[in-house]
Amino acid sequence: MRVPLSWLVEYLDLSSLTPYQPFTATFSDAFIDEVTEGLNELGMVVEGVERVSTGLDNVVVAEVLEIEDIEGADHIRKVLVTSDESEPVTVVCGAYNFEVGDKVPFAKVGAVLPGGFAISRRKMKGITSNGMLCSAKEVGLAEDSAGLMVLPEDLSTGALFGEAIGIFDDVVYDLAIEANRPDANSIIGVARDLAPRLGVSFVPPSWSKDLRPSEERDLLELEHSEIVDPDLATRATLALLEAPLRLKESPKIHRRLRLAGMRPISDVVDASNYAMLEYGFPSHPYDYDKVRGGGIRVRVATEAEELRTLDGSLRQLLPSQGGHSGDIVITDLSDTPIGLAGVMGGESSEISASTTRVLLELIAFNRKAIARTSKRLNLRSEASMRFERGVDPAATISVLHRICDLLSTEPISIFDFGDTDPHRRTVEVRVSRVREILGVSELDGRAISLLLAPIGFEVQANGDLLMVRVPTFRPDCETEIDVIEEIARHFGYKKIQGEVAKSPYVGRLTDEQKVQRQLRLLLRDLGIHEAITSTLYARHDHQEVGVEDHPLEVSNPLSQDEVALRMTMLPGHLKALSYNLSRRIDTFSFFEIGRVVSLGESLTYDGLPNERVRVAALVSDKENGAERATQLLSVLLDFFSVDPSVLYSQPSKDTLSSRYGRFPVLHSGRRGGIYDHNGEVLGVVGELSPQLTKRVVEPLSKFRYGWLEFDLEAMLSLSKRAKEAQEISNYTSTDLDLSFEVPESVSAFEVVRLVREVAGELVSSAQVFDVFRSDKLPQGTKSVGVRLRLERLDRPLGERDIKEIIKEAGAAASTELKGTLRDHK
Amino acid sequence: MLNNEDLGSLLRRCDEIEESFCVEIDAVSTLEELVELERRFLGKGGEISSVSRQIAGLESDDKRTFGQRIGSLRQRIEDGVSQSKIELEAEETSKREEQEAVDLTQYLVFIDTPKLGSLHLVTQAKQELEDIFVGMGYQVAEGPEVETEWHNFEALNIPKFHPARDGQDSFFIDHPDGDYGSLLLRTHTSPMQVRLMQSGELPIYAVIPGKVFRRDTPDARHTPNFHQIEGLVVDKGITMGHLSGTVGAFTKAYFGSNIEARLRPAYFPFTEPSAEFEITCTVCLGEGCRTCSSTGWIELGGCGMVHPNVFSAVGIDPETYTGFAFGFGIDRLVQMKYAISDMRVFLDNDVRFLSQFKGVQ
Repeated sequence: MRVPLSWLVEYLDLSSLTPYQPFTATFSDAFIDEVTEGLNELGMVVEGVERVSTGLDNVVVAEVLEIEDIEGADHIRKVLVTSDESEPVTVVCGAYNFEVGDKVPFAKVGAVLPGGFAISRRKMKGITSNGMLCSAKEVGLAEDSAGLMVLPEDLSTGALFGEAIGIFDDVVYDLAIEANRPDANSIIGVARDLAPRLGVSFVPPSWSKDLRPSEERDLLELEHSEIVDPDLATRATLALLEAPLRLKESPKIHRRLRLAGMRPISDVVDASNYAMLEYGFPSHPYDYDKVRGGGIRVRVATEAEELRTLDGSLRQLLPSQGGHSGDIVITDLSDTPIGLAGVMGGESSEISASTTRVLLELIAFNRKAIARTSKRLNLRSEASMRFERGVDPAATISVLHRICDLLSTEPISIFDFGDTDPHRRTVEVRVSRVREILGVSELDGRAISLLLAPIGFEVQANGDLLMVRVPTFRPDCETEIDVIEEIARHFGYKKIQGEVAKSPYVGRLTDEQKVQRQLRLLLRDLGIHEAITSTLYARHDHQEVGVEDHPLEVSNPLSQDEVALRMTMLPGHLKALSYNLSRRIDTFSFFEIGRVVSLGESLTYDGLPNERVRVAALVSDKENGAERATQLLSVLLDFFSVDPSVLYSQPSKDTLSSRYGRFPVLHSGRRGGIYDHNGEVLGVVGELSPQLTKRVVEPLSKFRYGWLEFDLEAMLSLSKRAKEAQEISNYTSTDLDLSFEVPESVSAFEVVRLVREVAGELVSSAQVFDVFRSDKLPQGTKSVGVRLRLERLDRPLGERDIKEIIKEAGAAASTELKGTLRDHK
Repeated sequence: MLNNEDLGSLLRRCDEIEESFCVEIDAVSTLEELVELERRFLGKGGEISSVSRQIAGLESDDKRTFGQRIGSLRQRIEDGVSQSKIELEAEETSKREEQEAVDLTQYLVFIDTPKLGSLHLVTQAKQELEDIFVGMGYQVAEGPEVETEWHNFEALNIPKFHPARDGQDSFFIDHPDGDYGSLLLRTHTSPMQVRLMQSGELPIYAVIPGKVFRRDTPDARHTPNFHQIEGLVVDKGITMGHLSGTVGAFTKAYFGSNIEARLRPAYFPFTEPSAEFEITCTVCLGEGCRTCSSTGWIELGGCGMVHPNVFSAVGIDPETYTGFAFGFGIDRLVQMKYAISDMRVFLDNDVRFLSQFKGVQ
């Protein structure tokens, strides 16, 4: 809402504020700031303060004394004018629409007009022009104009032009009005709310004349108008005005409309818009002779109706269906739609220069009905916005009055129907509750009443209970808490004494939150950067990483690239990878802890899909992404205290989905799956598939990328954290290296597991130190070297212990692995 | 009993041994030579032991004299050897150090020297905020990103066609409606407030950080997914004074003691009275600058007293309990703190951006 200060102060009695001289002086900086602060503290947030000058400093009212042709010039004439100087001056002028005796705006030498055009002394065809006679456009009062602006005769010659026509330098406040303040979408509403903050009185508008419709004419048709569905509107005031209708003080009205962000259109529309800005109540003019039957109806659109609106579009109207109410329309008495109520008028009944009678419609429409229609058609206007927030049903007569006043007319007929005396809601408010909510003990019934009275709330006190009558322009105030907010606003939020709320709890993070933090630090310390990737992807992004299941999809995406909710974190990291590779950055690793979601029931929340917290990492390596990723997994298994036996190498891709969601399909020769005790996959590790490497990586880098992704909760559930300290041996440990010749199909991990089983309690660690293949080994076999660290708690390890282990390892290798123990035969 | 030599010649023999040791020890240049020298003089069958054997043929008085001389000679040799050993070892050590000398600066700059990774700025801010509230006795709660319309809107006093839904254009999920309406990507972290309150454990002192979604085309100040943190307190006797005091305390804890917070009226359907909270501009400290449009204040977030309708929706008696809530965007906070001109940098995950903010901040 743009509020010109000159307009606002028309409704404030500033006589108590000194020094203040309305209209003749510019506003002082202190006053402008005080208004800004007041508006902000009342929640009408000032988003901008614009100082607007008229640009009319050296423009005066001049009277034309003589007009002479110039020899040899067809398009200019020599004009003698008198203004505020002792002697008349000569001006060369190209307009022909004026006569001797006319009064016109005269820009003297030195004037800088609103468009930035500086006036200097010029010579044309030998004649010196001492300034310029101006058109309405040149003085900033019209978008377009033909010829000079000929002024009313009663303006005094030599007067400052701006002052004479009622426009001044001004200040415009750009206010953000909240949805619960329909009253503040109007100049009067802002003034009413601001007045007590400034310590001044609010001056409600008044008019010189009463509305007295002429009773001579018989216009019974108008009284056939009706609100067909009472849910759509509560009150209607219709008035007939007789053309021609002329806007009085039009330069002032036009300027204010412009300052408020609206464009002047025609005298009737401008009057309607001006009154809307002032009161917050929109009205709509119809060409009465084009309204069939002479009356209107408010109803919901029916099947197959259409309407050409003022913007020229033919709109298909939506009837009610399946419990949803349809578009709200205005029809004539032949029941043909002639307007989208409160949203946009129809073309067929638009007023024009030939209109002889104007039907003015002021209807208090239902908020929701207008919201539905304007939202459905995506048509937002100053009018629909105000109806959606709620207009004051009591205001129709005042607004009509104002419009008539602006057009210097009286209605020839008025039909006011529906709820013509809107009820003022009474809300019970307890003083004790006000204190409980605000924490302000000094507020009593009297103090509350003093805060509420200036903004139109009447308070009747009865001990703790206050009966508060809410003004009709505050439809948002329905309950006690709504009134308490008004009390708080006018008491002043900053006067509420702050006190820290004391929690009875000792704050702490949950175990899972702590693990997440430690995990983040671990990954960071391993040199990995944390990324945060998007949740939404294109449909094919999942297929590309081998996840074929149907994802959850957004029904109203912004683009087709952001439709599918991620089921795995890989698509986001591929995008980040591409982005960085294309900037020649290839040595980096990313990790992310975030949520994925797939179809299926949530294991935590009823009625929600299966949303899980995942840990993922993308790691780079010169030749083997799987090695890097699996090394990272090894550190993480250590971190989580999870036994390495959860990893299976080269799992089939059918096993990569489980209650924990879906996992991407990696390089079939370089991937592993992590499985829980029930054989459900909870994670994957390995290298990006060759297709992905080929498409994303190879054009830009020779690196290989490894991927690790697992379900955090499932991983934690496998954790076997030591509950108590383990005893350590007092005796020196012994290392024993055993090399096995085993078939290719036997994994290194199986060899280690076998050795561990054989050595039992004596093993403190078992690691592979070497895997090799050679011509000297039989075809299809490999050698796996395992280093055991052995110790006993009860005594030093003896020769016999070691011989025993070697013997059993040899036997077990041949029976369980179809292999042999080398060197120790 | 043999008397091959008299005491005098034996003592002379001792002097000769000592002299020859003194000459030889000076010539020793390695530890190996020293060991050999030590063996020749002090070892089995060495000089000392062979001359000492002669003691048997001496008179008892002479025995004592000779014994003392042998003792002093042995001491002299042992001292000489150990002195030399120390010198030789020191020499050897310094020689080795010379040979093993390296330029350490290279390890700082080698291509494969391990590097520190980084935590995302949003994570860093989120953790710092969480820590402040944990210190104030709050729990940290996290909830689902896919929510129901009821939890995201209805329970928060935002019925269908409410004007407040306009500003929060949501991503709806293509999924059959359940008991709680359609599914959508949560537009704020507030549905988790609803879940916390529904759990029935009172009082509540909690903060809720998380990812949220708005159907906004990305620009310098908006991305379709971003992060919020919000606080919820539900207890007996909670007032707007508590809201104001708590927001102020948090502001000082996070931004510094010179940063103030203030509330000004605003509208949110789920709180009433509602407020925006502004803080002293962190750039100009209230003097007025471009960041704060010369006002000295910057808007941080929204807050207010929990609306009685919200309490009713989750089954808490608003006459017994009152509460407040507040919330703000973490990404926006980070954008302000690090003077990031365009929010879209968060969408790219550019390593050059992410790796700037690591270690001690």
